[in-house]
Amino acid sequence: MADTLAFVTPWYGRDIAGGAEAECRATARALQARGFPVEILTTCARDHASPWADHHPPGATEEDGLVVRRFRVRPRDAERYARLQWRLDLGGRLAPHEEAEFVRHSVNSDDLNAYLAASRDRYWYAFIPYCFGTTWEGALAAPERTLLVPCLHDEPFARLQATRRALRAARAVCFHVPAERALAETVAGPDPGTFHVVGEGVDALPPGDAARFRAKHRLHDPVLLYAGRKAREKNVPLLVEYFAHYRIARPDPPLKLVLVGAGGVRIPPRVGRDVLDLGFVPLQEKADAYAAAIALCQPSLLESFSLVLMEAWLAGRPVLVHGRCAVTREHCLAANGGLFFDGYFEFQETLALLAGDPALRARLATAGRAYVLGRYTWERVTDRYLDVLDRLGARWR
Amino acid sequence: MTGEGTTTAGEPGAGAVDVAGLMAEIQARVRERKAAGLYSEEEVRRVTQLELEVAESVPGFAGELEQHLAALNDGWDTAAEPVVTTHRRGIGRAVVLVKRLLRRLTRPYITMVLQRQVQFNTTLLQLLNPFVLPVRDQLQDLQRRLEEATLEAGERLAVEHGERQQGERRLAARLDALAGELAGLRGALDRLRDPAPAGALPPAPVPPPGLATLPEAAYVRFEDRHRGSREEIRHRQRGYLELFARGPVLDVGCGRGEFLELCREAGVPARGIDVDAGMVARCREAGLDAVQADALAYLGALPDASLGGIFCAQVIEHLPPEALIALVRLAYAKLAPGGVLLCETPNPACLTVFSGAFYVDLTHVKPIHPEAARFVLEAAGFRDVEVRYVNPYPPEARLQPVEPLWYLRRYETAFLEQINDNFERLNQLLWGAQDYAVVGVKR
Repeated sequence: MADTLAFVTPWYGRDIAGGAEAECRATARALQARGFPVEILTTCARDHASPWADHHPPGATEEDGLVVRRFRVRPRDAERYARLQWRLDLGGRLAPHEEAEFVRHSVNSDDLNAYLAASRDRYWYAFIPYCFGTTWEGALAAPERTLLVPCLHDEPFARLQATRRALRAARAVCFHVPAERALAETVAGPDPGTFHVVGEGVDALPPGDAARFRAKHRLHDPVLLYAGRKAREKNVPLLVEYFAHYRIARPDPPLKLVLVGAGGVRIPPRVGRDVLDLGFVPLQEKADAYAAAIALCQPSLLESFSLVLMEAWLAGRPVLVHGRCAVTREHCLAANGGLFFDGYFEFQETLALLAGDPALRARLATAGRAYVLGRYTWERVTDRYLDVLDRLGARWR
Repeated sequence: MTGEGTTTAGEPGAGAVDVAGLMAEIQARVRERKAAGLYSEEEVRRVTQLELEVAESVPGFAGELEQHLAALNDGWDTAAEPVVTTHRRGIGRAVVLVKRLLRRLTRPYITMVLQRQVQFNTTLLQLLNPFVLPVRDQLQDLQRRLEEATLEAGERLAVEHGERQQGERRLAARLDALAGELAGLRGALDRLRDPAPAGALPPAPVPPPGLATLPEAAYVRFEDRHRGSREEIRHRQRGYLELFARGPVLDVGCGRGEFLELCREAGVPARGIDVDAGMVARCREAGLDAVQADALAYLGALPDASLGGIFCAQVIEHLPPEALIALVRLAYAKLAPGGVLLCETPNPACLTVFSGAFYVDLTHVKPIHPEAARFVLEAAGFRDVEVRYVNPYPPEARLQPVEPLWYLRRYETAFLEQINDNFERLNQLLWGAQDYAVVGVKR
């Protein structure tokens, strides 16, 4: 009888936003399409933004052709968790007994853990992402049948012993990019032969229409685009501040910063006219925005893959990223598809160069596109997953 | 190990950009410019400040306490076994072995001392752990309460200040009323002492029905209270002066004589008539030419085409329709060609006029719609008839538009615009112009 690959994730649903959540859905469906039986094991919680409590009924359902099994959430002390997380965020460390508490009060399900242990003979488990109780505890329930898709970021959670244990215990750990694997090695020690760089599949956006976007938003000037959640941890306030300063230092030629995506960011009044925050936009409009932009800027320091870079390159646009983010910087260097900045003056130089040199932009974009098509199409990525599973001895063909 | 696994930069192919090389050039250029002082000191300072503000969220005092406590909790066990490593290749393993051996030999002696330190640390932490965080929380609570108290005190002060201002306004109004009463009394006294010679004035006036039962000088007091201060009225009426370049001007219902004063200042001969003796007395006191007379009777007695202008503010709403028509016809007859008739009256197209100004005055008979007024003037023969809306409510009395804020979504901004459009329509209907003036020219 064929084995089943079960993606284990804290919450699952068609409309949940978030990189790891979307990757889980898409990878599961891509593998199922290639003939590997796939299921989803998750809790009854709705999503990251809601209280981590039962929202869906427990039990099995079929969603978009995949079997989804949900288990009741274990009661938790949210306040204690928040206090410990706060300390972690401030750069503090947790004593072992506190870390145990932190893991216990993350999102998890006792029923799910029992199911994982009891059904290990017929499943391979793929835990995604690394930073929740479902993975920290679950990866230890049946380590010999465990794959980990950590989506590891350089953040305090990555330094927890629980993360280290999960990374060491899994039979295979699938990373998006070499920089993520390098981070895992600093956290969990050298590759014990279980680390694989698999990548993440990318879907191209529909063709964009620059004229439509410009007409809709009455834009006449060149546009620098930011696409993604507008959150502090994505470093968007830094981009807005840098851009404000850039516009004061270089009022000519005109340039607008357009932000698309959910969330909010304070826009200083002095650049109110040069920064356009469109909020969440539909997919087609996002594609139009790429078409209208001279480049995409991704200032985030916490990226484990950065899909927007791939989207930009597939849409034929170069990128500008923060030089202190190992992942995006590595993409730019490996693809020869974008520039990076560390500090304002480099931001000013690189942005001015991109804005003033259309030929450079075209060459960067072409190389970026070739990079994505060569490495991160769904076919390539599922090939690598199936290769990993074959090596582990999974029975599916 | 599978996958594309390379950590080296891609080789730039034909036509591709060597990003690593380009970035090295850019970084070198930035370094050179900084060194050469091409970025101004001010700019470097501002940017450094900016990076400090944005890149680091500096934890406050409260956060710092917790951080220190966490650091103590992490490091209390000074006797814990340290990790032995070496960076030397080849003989590294031997070095590690030797180090471990040395450590094992010395450990019992070091531990004797360290154990006391650990004991001390543990005791200290046992004291600090339950103590520091509650104290910090209490501090935060105190700070919050202080902020709340400050806010509350500020609000209370603002309320008291408002009440005091209101009291002052009431006192000022009372003073005005007393001054009016005094003027009325003086006028009455003057008339008793020095009765006007018979025949110098047109026939004795017939007071309108509304005034018949009111004591003399009552209307002066009433006007003082509700019409607005003399300065306000002068300010409002100054705009009409340009229409009355030619005299003589007759001010029908001259009241306290604000327009007569304006005419005098502009050098235009003008006379006022009013049915109220108190008003007339006040005008005379101010040295203005005013007589007590009924408008229809007085106008009727004047020779035709003898006036350059007729000014008639806040009068026609006191007249029944037939008297209004008669007044306008008489005015047309008595004006010289090119002469102007102006009638100012409350604007019934502004609905709050009915909850305020119009029905405050018992002697108001009927509101006159601007289009009705225009019709009456045109029917009497006036040309170039125009309606001027005047005396708008102050902006603070109107519904205030809601300002869109930067963090609103587009659909929220669209809602706001709709709400503001609706506010504007309500403003027009409820808080528009309180009065209008209909102006016609005799050709």
